Amino acid sequence: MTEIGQSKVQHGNPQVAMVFDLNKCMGCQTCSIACKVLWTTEPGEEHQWWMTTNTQPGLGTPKGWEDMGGGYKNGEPAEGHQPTRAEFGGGWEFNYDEVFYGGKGRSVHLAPKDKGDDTTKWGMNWDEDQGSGEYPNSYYFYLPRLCNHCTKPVCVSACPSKAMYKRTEDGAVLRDEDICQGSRFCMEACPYKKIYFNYVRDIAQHCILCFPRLEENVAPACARQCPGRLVFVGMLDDENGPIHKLVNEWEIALPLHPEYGTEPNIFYIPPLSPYRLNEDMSIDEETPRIPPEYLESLFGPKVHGAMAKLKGELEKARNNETSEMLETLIVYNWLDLFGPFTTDPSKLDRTPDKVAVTIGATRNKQN
Amino acid sequence: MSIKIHEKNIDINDLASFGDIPAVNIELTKIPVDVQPNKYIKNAYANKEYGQIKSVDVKLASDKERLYVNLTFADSEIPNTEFQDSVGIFFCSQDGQSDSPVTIGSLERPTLLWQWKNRTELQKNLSQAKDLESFGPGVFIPNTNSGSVEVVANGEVVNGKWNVIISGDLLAVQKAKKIGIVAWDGSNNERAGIGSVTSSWIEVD
Ligand code: SF4
Ligand code: SF4
Repeated sequence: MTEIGQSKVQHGNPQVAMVFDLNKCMGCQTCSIACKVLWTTEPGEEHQWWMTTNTQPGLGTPKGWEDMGGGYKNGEPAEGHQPTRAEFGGGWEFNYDEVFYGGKGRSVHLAPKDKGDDTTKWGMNWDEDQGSGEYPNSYYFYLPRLCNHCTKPVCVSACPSKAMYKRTEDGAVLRDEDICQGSRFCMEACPYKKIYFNYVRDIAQHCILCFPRLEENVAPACARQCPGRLVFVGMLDDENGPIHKLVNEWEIALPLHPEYGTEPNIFYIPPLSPYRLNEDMSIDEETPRIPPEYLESLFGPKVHGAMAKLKGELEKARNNETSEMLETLIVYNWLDLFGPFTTDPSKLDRTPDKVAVTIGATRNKQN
Repeated sequence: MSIKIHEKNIDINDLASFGDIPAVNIELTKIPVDVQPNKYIKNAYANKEYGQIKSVDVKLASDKERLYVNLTFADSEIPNTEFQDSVGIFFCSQDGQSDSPVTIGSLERPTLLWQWKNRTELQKNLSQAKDLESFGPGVFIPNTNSGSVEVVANGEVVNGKWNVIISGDLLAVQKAKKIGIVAWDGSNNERAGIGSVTSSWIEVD
């Protein structure tokens, strides 16, 4: 537990990390739903989606989050905007009564009720598949996002009540909900805008990296449920694991917006794309459909080296050479994705007494 | 500055029950940026206008078991669906006589803070009462040493003014002898250390 008054984050501790291969993400939102049904079904959590997948380029969720500030600038925590209910949108109530039971089934359409707070004008996946570019060279890809469980979590430093902390055993950035006073400086400071506010409980909430699952060696729900089999989970410093290879050795898995300065522990394999078509519909083999400068704006200048390596390995494979990198990314065996977290949650003892002991032990460890 | 505690039975649900007890007007000042508890808040709020609630009318009453605090202050009409108006009373720690109240306690000398928060956006007439320990501006955590007398609060807007009652154990003020007042203008996104406070302790007799 951090001391009251000054937050302390220790570096060099074990860190659970994740790698999302964007070349395989199909935007199905199974990850978002897996998280939603597991963690955010209580009153006050209706609009909360700790895991979201958005179409890029796009405004995402909350609307326009990349222009909301926060993070570190020149090593100093920088002012950020606290996303509003309207910018998150969602959490809608529908007019079921009116349409189904009010005798207006033929005259009124099913729609979210307008509460006058503009929450019906945006949602967690509002600009799906809009993307960018002009036909025939339009383009888009999907970007799954969750809290990055950063190594320099500016949210933790911004919390005056010291309700937030970074766990030493796995690097999960967590919040003690009994201490949180709902002051929301964490929401302002987080540059990824991945913290939500629970207006019923008057506390902030965010992704907990499925820590109760990690403690039972079960992978986070978003990763385990992903039908694209593209989410690697493991310890960042496990030199034999795929995450270490993808991030540190091959340097093809990159953090999102590294310039925000918080050192994320969620990484992405950047998306390859078809080549552009010339006006006569011939292929322009020099120019990828997704502009490299756009990818640089998301993943930093290292994206060019990563793309070159990926293309080089593809070339090797086309020439019948073996590519360890591609073999790793193909994931022949599903459980190879999850490092030490391969336990099947359906095989766990989930009787209430057992669950209470697990959660109690976690809390005591922090205090 | 001093305020007298009047002996009177107060009904927390009857905001008129302080009757004609005389009110003392207490001036509040902005909680300074340089005492804020972390760099993020210092950087982000250095150039922001806050501390909009400039004064509060205070009345104190007791029924020998409980202290009742009546606080009235102007309600801003600017709507804000994110933050709520709020006010609190805090108690000088016994050995904290020389500390300024503007920090609302410190790591070395925490202070007890009773806070009322308007939650009417959730449910009509809903007031939230918080029993806190304050280690500095916004460095608030739930009070784990509360006795059997629960902190309760109630408030409503009457003619453009908040009329709030906060009540808790009389022992708190009997031990402290001095109090401070802190207020937050929700319409201006005020909360935690971003608010206004008494710049000197108020004696209670
Ligand atoms: S993504 Fe935001 S909320 Fe998550 S650890 Fe980083 S700064 Fe904190
Ligand atoms: S479940 Fe997998 S494929 Fe579907 S959106 Fe999430 S990361 Fe992409």
